Amino acid sequence: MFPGNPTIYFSVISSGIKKTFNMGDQQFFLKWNDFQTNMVTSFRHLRDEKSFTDVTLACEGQTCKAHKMVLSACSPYFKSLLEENPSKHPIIILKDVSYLHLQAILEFMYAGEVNVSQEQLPAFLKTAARLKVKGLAEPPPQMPSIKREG
Amino acid sequence: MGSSEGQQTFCLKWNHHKTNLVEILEALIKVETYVDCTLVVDDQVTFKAHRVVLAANSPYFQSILADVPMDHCSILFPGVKDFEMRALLEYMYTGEVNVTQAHIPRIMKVAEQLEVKGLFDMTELRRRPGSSERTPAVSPPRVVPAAPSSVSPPVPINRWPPPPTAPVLSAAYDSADMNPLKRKKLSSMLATRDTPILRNVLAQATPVDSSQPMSLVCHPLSQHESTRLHSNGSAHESERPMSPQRPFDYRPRRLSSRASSPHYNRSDRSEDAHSPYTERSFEEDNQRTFHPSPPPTNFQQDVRAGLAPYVPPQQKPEWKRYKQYTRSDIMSAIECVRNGMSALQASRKYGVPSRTLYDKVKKLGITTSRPMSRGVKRESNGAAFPYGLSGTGGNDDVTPSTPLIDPSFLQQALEGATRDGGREALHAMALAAAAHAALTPRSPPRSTPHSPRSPPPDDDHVEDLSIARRRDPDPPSGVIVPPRNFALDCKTERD
Repeated sequence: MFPGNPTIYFSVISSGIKKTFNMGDQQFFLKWNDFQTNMVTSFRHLRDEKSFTDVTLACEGQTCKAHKMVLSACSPYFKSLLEENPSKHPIIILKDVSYLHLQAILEFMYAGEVNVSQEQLPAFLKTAARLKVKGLAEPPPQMPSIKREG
Repeated sequence: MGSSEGQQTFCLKWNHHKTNLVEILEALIKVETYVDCTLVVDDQVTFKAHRVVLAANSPYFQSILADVPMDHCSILFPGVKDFEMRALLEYMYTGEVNVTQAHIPRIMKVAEQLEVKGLFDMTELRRRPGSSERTPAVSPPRVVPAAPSSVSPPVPINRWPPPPTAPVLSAAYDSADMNPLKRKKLSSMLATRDTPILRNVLAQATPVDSSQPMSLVCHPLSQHESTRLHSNGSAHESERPMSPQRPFDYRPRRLSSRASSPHYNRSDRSEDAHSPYTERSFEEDNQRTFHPSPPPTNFQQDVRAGLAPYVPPQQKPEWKRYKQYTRSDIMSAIECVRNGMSALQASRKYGVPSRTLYDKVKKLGITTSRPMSRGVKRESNGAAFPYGLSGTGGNDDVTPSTPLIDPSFLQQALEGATRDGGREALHAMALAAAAHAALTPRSPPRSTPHSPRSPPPDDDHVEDLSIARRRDPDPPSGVIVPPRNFALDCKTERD
């Protein structure tokens, strides 16, 4: 999801003046060490605020809002689903999904970690597998060969 | 409203508003006009719908759509088949849907998930405080009572034991403000003992022959005739309450026995299978018709004949007349029985009440051959009963052409009568019944020489009896008595 540590051209915006330094092909590698943390916290914040949410997930009579981008990034299942149904704000009603598990999965998607009780774990993993949540559903080697669900 | 003069308000109401609204919505969805959401199910099948309808039919949708103020939203239902969604949408728009039985479980499951009103239990909704409580598969789909036609509606439990009876009764008695209890009682009684009499009586809602005079003999009813019930049968109801209070008379018993003869194990009822009495009821009915305001009595009696013994006291003295056999008669009869003749036959031969004869014989220790087995008869009667009722329900005249009564029934009645009371009356009654049967056009077997009057109009009413009589395996020889002239007939018969 994140660009890793790519070398980028450094742009400086200062005082409205944008300059690119091309001095002797000298390049500066600027890295924000807290980028990932920031992203995570920011997304979480956005989710908590329900800001810019553009998808609603519903199950068991409960709903929670999320961002298509995050869902798509974390689950090929959602990605295909959302791609096939371009909508400003789709509502996805999930069948046979526990709201508890859904929340946990979203938590995992946004934070990359979640606490699940042991007794809930099998069901949780099962649900995650159904939703093809990356990191929970399939072992890494199989990831490329994920089959899209209609 | 705002007028300065008065604040008087007017209610402008369009009675068809609701139906119109529903119809409009249904029409709109057909052409997909004003739809503001798209439902997407598996295989990219899409349905257009109105959010208001979804919200109106499901608190779930309501909550979901409330905070999604989009011009047009799409709702994705991964895992839901198109037939399920189609059925639910049709249900939500029209309130009903036809589905195959195989699909019901799945549809109900989805409906439950979506909290479609009427298809999922609302109580469960309330019960759900937190999300955690609900687990997907936990709550089984319930067919709510409110469930529309798609789901088989709960079958109302019939209060009355015999389903066929109930409707008829209710039809007959609805007019009167009969309390349910009474009705139930009556119906149950009817159900328990099928009595041709009852059938006839019920059937006679419209009495035909009013001209018939009462039978000389017993009918205390004559007094009551004036009280005859109306054809509609409502009168019966009113009468009902009174009857129970009356003292038990043998007379009523006769009626009852007659009616209940199949069950004559009960001594009280079985005693009297008295056909004449029943006949009387017919007459009374007829007469009643003429009297606009019938006092409560006879009809009821008739109806109740099987049910409860009610007898006017006056009858007793007259009753005595029936005992017309002499000691020699009874002795001869006993002798015959001793020699192997059946008690019934003997009683007929000598004009001795069969019941009396049975008693005597029994005391003497003579074994008699019993022609009939009760159980069978009873069954047959029971089977016949609904039929009779149904016939009676609508029009009185509709009497089943097929014999309702088992021949055995009559015989049994006779036997029972003999057994219990030893009353000649019973015998006479049986005879009279037979005679009556003979009178009816359909029952040719017996000539009706003695019958002073042949009441053509009665035929309809009498039909049941007549048939029964006809079939009677062992008809009383030469005894043909019109019910009304019961006394006369008896005499003649004896001769």
